[in-house]
Amino acid sequence: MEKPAAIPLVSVQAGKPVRVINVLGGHGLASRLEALGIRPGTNIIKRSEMFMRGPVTVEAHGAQIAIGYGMASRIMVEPLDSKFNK
Amino acid sequence: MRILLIGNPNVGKSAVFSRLTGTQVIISNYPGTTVEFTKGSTRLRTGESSEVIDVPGTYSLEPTCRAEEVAVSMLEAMLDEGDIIVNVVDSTHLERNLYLTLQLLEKGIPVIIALNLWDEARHKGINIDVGRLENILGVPIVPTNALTGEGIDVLMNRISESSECSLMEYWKEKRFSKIDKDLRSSVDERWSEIGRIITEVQNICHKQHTFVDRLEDASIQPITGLILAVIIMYLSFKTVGFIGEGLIDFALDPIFEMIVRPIVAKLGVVLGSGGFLHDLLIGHLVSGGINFEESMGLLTTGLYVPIAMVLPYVFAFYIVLGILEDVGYLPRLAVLVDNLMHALGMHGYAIVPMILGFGCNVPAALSTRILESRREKFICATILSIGIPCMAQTAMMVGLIGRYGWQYLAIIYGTLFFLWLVIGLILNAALPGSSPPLLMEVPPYRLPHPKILAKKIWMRIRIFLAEAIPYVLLGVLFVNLLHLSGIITLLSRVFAPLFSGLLGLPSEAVIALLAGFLRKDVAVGMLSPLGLSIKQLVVAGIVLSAYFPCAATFVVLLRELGPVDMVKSSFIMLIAAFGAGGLMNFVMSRAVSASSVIISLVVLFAAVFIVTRVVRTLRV
Repeated sequence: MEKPAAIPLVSVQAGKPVRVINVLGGHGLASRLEALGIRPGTNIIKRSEMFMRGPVTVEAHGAQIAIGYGMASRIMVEPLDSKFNK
Repeated sequence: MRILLIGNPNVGKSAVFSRLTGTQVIISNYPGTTVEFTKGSTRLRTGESSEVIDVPGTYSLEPTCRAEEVAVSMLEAMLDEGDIIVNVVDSTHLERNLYLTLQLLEKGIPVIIALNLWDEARHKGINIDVGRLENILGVPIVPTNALTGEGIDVLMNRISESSECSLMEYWKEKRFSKIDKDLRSSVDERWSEIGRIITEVQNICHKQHTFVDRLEDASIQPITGLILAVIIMYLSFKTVGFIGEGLIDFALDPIFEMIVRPIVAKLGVVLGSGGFLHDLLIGHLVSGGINFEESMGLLTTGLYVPIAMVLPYVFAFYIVLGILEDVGYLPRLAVLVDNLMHALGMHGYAIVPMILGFGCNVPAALSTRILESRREKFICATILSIGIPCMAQTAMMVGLIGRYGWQYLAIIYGTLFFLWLVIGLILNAALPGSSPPLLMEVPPYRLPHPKILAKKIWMRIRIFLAEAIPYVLLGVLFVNLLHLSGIITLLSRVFAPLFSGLLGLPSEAVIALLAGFLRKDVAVGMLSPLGLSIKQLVVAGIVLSAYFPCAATFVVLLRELGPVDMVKSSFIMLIAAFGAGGLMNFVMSRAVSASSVIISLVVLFAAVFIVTRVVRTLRV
């Protein structure tokens, strides 16, 4: 099966389940996300995004976490459910 | 031996603390409610007493942000041999919470786990096999519902047992045999260990989307979120006004008129209707009788202001704030306003100190600790002090200025909001550095627990009364002494150019500004006997709000910001207050039309916005 390319979390549509591939940038960001349970391999659902580059809210392990736009654009994910993914 | 409560943010550590110690602490449904170590004591089953410490929440022992750094470093400094850690865990998010648990276990510290929010987990269809988890981790585990108190007895038993060394050794040995010998495991190993544990002990029956789920989603979607925010803010505002006004009209005013007035009137006669003591206790008579607002006696205005004018609104505000906090709305508001707050150099969570500030600036100043950088704290503290009048001041302004019509209050609050916005923009452009990004957990909506809510309101009211009444009395006393000693005439003369020239106020208004260092409500009250016109009242209201925080807030800010930043911040406050007051005086005395004022404000705002944007881009 062909592996879908990783896209930044900000370009995922709200409501879509995705899997985290990696976090670009410094170690600091990755470890902050990690402490919240968002790490490579974690399945998350994007719940919402605010307009004008506002924060993205995701659901990870049943908890909702709001992530600033800059951070969210460095989280690379792959869509999980291909049938939603035209 | 001490008991330390440790866990992720917003898992109910303070609720457990309050159950164990019987001490009342503020409990809310948002991360970062507790920013200080709180200490209390409890009696163990063995009869000996033990100190309990409520540690601010952290996700990890390797701190990833400033707030956590403080928590962890204080934790390390405090932890002694023989202390017991109660690791409070959110059962609804077991997987994520276990990360901290594993870190604690790796350190070889005696841990007892309280699986808190147990009922909520069951409600959500999450089943946790406690026996199995206990076996795997090798430590005692107790399911609890700290809000209702379920499981706290069992937890207490476990703590008491563990305080006997032999048992601790037993658990320790058990743990070492179970968990990997190599205690310094890496992050990846920890997470895969957690994955294994979770598949063994937890199963989740997926439930249908409920109404609450939909409401949660709606409140963080752009359009529905904004609509909901407007509705919630409007309702909050209306409710505070309704309850506050109702209490004044139907309870406190009648009480003062029917009970207090005859007593103090009689006392006035006994005191001989004049003289030093009479003036101090009863004050001067206004058209032959006592005027609670203007007489300025300790037993008249000194009691009437805090109890009959301010308390009703403070009470009303804390009911509404308590509900918003416990429902879990504030973090969602933070998500909505994140963009706006970034323009002012902070992230969205800085809205929490702002909202708290409408009640009282003291807890608001304390809660600036949830912000990450010094820069962010500085901006937040400064614009909070300038632009957010506390409920005590609001109540007095409603009482004094509201009678001329709501539009005047709107002018004051509009001006303050404008200052808040513009100074935030300027500071964000002027200070080096940038605003840190938002990253926070958004708690689920919860139905407020009536008993917890009532306790919280009562606690805040008690703090208010303990703080307000002495300070108001002190303020009234201080003003009386200034009058009696004649210093006031001297001061009035010195400040006359500033007051009459710049602000268009009579020089006696300096007394209100002086009283404002003690308390803002007294300061507004001082304006009442001066016979000011409504225009002067508006100018004075703005200056009084913005020029300086009250003594209690100042002390907290000094501690949080340090002397150097506090001096800078105070300087900004003074410029803002007198600048805005002077401009407002200029505009109002020349009877410029409202539309031209609004247009020029918009133009000014746009200019500031563009200039600050350019400055920021140039620097990057």
